[in-house]
Amino acid sequence: MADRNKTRSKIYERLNNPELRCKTGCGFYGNPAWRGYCSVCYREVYLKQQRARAASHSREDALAGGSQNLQTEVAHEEEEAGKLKFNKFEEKKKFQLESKKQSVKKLFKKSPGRSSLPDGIPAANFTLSPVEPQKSATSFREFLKTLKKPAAQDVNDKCKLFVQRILNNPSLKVEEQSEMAMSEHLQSHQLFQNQPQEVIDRTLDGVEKYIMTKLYRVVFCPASTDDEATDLANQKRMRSFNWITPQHLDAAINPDSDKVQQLIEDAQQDLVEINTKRAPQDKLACVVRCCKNIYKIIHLSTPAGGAVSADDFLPCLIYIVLKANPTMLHSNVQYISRFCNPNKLVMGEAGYYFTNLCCALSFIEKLDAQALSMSQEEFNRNMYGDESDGTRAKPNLKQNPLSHSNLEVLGTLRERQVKLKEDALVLQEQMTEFRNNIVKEVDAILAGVTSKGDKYLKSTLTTM
Amino acid sequence: MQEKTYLKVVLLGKVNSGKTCLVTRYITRSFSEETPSTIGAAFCRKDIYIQGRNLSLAIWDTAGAERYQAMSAMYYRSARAAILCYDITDNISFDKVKFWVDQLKAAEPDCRIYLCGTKLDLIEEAVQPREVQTKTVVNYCRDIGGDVFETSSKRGYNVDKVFEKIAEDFMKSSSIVTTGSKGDVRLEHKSTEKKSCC
Repeated sequence: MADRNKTRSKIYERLNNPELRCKTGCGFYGNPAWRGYCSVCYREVYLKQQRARAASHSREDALAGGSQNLQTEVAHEEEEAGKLKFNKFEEKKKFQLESKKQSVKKLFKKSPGRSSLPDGIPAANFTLSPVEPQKSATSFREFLKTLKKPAAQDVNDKCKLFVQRILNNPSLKVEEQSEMAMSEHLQSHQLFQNQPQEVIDRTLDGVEKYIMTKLYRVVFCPASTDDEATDLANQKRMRSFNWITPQHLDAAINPDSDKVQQLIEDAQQDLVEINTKRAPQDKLACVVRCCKNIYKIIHLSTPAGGAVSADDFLPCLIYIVLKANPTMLHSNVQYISRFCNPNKLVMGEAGYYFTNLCCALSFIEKLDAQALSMSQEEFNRNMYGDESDGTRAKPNLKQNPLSHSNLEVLGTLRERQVKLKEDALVLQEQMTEFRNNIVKEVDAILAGVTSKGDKYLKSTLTTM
Repeated sequence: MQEKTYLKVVLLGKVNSGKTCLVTRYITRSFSEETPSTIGAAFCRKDIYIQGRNLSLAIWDTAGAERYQAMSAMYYRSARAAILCYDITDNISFDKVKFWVDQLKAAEPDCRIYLCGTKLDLIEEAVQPREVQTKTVVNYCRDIGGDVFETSSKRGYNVDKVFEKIAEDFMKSSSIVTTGSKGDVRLEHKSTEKKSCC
């Protein structure tokens, strides 16, 4: 008892220690991780510091030299022009902009990342010849290398500034402008003036990738939208559609062929991979790969041949999406449509496949009996009924060897659990029996005390 | 090097109205009834040189089945031209075209509309009777301000003309609308601070 009192008083002592309180004296407790502030006050202090830092940064930039100064100004002007052009996009974003409120937590998470930004300190022995950017476009890593070269400093600075600006203004969503502003900027840049469009495109890709990778954690599936909830709902929904076969969708898939099976798995893999990539164009590349596999599937499944039309393509894609049930597909789709280079999404081949994916997703979201051309009863039976266990379980097993082995494992697990339960019951019985015996024994002893006298009691007490 | 201009063309039409064959014919210059082709025709790109400019046609095929109708808006978003295919021997397919015309007019007023009656060879060879009369289509087109073509993908008749017309019309209109609409955008920097406890 005394011990406990002691520790308790110690705790009170600590709690009453004024040093533990928030530095601002707001009454809440502080935390060393928040530099002695409470969470609310720390947030305020932190934001204040951020703003100050950003201001000083731009001041430094302004001082950095006449020509560069001019360049940045020009860039800013062009950015404004870019903003104008993006009128439509802004409108689309407006709704988001209003509702957007980034959680501070995310901001904190991001802050250490900032210090690791490449500083762009030149390896000065490199001079950037006009041929150089062409090489640089071969890979992203190469791109980052060129970014560090002195001639590319301006571009690099711009990227960094942009990333910082976004991070400092969590409520501001202007990413789309980035690409536009960047492209305008690059085109005006003296180095790129004589370059073919292709090179600019590739460099732009690199810039986009760089920025989006840096911002990924903040802008992907932001907490203020209901992306996450939709993801979960979709995933659940797709799982409940596991009974759907290619025939339901009129998809030209021949599930008996091993080659087709393999391709289906590949395509599913591609879809799942979307979530592991960060830059929008990498995600898009996954979508394109998946679609190429779907072409192959259709070619193999329709011996008569002919060109693959969208009439075959879309059902097949829907089937693959249902089977793959990729994690956070909705978030990924949203992310790509929000932040990918809009030109690419509207015109290019990747854009076409992406649109198809959007369609597949919205089809699944609205999927009902009519869309599968079956009666409501049949649909309900498949959705919630037991028919799927009997007649459809077999093809499902055949289609997916992994789920088959999983089922086996689950079966043995269940057996073991039942056994465990039995054992537990036996143990419980034994325990109650033991208790009863003890009670009986004690009763017997107590009875012995009254009837047989002190002798017996004394002997038992001494042994106890 | 000259700058390329991109033009998005979307194909709409009922299932089996000959959308895919039309594109395949245009791209590969062949009509495949049985021989498997190696291209995925759902998306095609065709570069053409017209009036001193490089034009790149991005042709988007769409799924014509009724169940996917609700999603077709996603496909024709920001398309500059739409080819609406109907089967000359199938009246229902032309009714479907009317449906899509209404949709397009409402959603994409800038999109030019080209009606395309397919399978002309079936009539010339008297395999099937004509159901959609040229006159009705021409009259309808005058009302909606579109163009009409009757084609045979099997023989290649009139196929190229459809796409040439699209390119020409685009060049005409693009001299007026080159930069796209400009508007004002004001970004408001609002910092709505919210207080919350732990």
